[in-house]
Amino acid sequence: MRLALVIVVGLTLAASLASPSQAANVSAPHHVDGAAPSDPALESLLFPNVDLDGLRAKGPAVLPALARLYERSDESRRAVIAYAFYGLGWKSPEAKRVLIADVHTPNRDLRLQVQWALGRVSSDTDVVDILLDNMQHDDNPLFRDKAACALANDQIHLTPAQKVHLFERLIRAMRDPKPDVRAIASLALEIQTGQTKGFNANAPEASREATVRVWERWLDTYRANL
Amino acid sequence: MARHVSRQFVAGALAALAAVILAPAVPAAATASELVRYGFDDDVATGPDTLQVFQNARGSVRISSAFNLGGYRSVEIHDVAGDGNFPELLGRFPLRTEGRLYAHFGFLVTDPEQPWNVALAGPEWFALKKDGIGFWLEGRGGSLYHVSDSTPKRLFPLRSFVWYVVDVTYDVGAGTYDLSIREESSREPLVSLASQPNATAHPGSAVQVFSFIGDTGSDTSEVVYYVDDIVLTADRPVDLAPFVAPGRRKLFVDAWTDHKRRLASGPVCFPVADVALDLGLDPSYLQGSAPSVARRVLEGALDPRGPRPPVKALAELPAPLAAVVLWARGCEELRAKRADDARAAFERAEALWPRGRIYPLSRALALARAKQTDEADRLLTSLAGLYRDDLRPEIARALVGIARDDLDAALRILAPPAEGLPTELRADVLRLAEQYFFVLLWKGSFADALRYATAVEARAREAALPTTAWTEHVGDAAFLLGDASAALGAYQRALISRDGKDARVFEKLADAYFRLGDLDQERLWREKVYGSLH
Repeated sequence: MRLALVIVVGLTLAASLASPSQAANVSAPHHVDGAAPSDPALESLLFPNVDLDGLRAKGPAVLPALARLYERSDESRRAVIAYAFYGLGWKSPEAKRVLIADVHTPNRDLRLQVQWALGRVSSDTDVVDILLDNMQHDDNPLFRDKAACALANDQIHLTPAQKVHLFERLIRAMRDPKPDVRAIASLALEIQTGQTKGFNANAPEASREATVRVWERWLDTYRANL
Repeated sequence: MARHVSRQFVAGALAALAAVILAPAVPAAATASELVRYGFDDDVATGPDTLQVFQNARGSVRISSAFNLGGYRSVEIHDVAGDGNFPELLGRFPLRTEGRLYAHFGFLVTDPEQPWNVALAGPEWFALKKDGIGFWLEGRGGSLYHVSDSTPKRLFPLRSFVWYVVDVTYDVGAGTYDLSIREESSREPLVSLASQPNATAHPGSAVQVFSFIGDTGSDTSEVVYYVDDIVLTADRPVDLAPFVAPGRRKLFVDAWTDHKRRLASGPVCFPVADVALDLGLDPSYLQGSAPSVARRVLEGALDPRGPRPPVKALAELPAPLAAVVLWARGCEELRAKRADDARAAFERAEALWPRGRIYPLSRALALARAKQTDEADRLLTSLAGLYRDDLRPEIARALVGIARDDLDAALRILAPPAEGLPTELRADVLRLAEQYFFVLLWKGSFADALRYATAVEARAREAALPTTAWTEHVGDAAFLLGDASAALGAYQRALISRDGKDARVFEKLADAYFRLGDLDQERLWREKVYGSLH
């Protein structure tokens, strides 16, 4: 087991937060605009199974082409391409742009793949904000849960300064009126830092508030060390 | 905040370290308190008890004479951005769950802007949690940082082509460390910190591995840096077996059979063999619930990696399906070595749906894992009538014997059905046969084990079933019997049937070649697993 893999993607959430897995195989091409495939060689690395090694061999230059393919694909194929973005883990403004358009989709598979992939193609704090919003306000508890999973495990390009933004908002979410939001915010923070500071999402409000303040003091120290 | 430590303390600690560092190197068995020492002037045999090298993609880890802190060589670690992987130098040492660990090493960076990391970690590897990362040093953006209390704290700006000497005193119980770093040419430390909370501020966070890498997954590092003079010392004597072969204190075959015995002492759930009988599920119950829900529950229960409950809680399940979920949860607890939680889950599954016969069988396994072997025996005896044509209770009884270290009892249970090998090699028959084979090995009955493995291999071949596992077992028994040539042949056959890709067989081939005195081949096969450092 290797250091970076474990730090970045090997950190497993509790049973309620599953890791992403390869999207369902997609065999037949389904282009939304009906256009013929422009890059059969690229598509052969995606369908019916994603060949991450083959994609990696093409280097980061493959990312804009993947983004273009994403834009003209149907939802099932977009989920596969989102998984490919996730697996590659390379920053790409094109990937971020196309993925973010689907970050509120009700399509379960696509939504999960997009939420997981976004943090691995971008280090922009607006991605963090969108995932935090999904974590706190999405109607579907599964999507809230998996947004927390993405915040916990997949923000691999954030600098320490950008992490302040993430931590600050996770700590704020620990004051959320919804117990499940408090719990997943705490869990995401625990995975990011290895600590709980004694926070219990179901404890009485006064007790929760006391531990949230402990977290806020920790964040002050974190910020002071930047 | 960091507190500076007194000069007297630093002087004492450094003197103690210097005494260790300057002591003559011992080629095989380390001194009582010295856990590892690598100066890289001599070749280091990679292996499970020394170093492991990962140099996938375009990065590299190699011995270099370009720079050195002591002697004339060091290790160069070179990461390449955008290649989808990273190089790593990983070292293992005996687990430290208490006391102090003194770590000493030197590093030199060629470009301080590039990210790189070094960490000490425990059984949870490089996760930020207790028993995960204990000590973490990172270079990036021109500066060196240490991660304490989950916070990266800047230490000082790094200079190119300067050796820095790091000394860490890691107090496992207190969950703190003292850190001193100086430039090679200076006696005065650039930083000298005491009682820093460890990476996650967890007292008692154990350590057993160290690792040097580039970036931690962003795949952006182009670092080239050098590491030299790695020394780890414990504050109290540690029992260290001598090296029996390059890179290992125990032969791979011995380590494998020991591993199998540990697994048998901590049994996990049997797979479902018959949905109707094991889970007590009548198709009518499945028709009564949403098909998608039933499918998800059963997919989890029949997962080939081991039963697991659905990721998401399923509300208001009918009793038989709720029992399946509880059982799968219990199996997860059992895998996680939480025997009491597993037992409680199995009891609830039984109470909810008594028709499921696998629930009490699983409870017996939880009792065995909890070393409540008498109770497990009684329970298994009471279940005999439920499993008339099924060998799983016999296997479970043998596992109970193994759990109480009574191999004779296990052998008495397993021998009759195993030696009278049925014509039909069902999954439970093969599992029982394998358990019998391993009990023979653990008892030292190598000739019997070889005879038995050869017979099962032949029977499997006649039945057109896969033989690879038994071919490998033939090799194991032959090896332990002292016939390395026969073992080599068996391992080679096993490898062919696994398409030439099986790290465990690579290791066993290395053992066989070692016994045969062919050290070039030994190294070739060992380095396929642990990498090469040349």
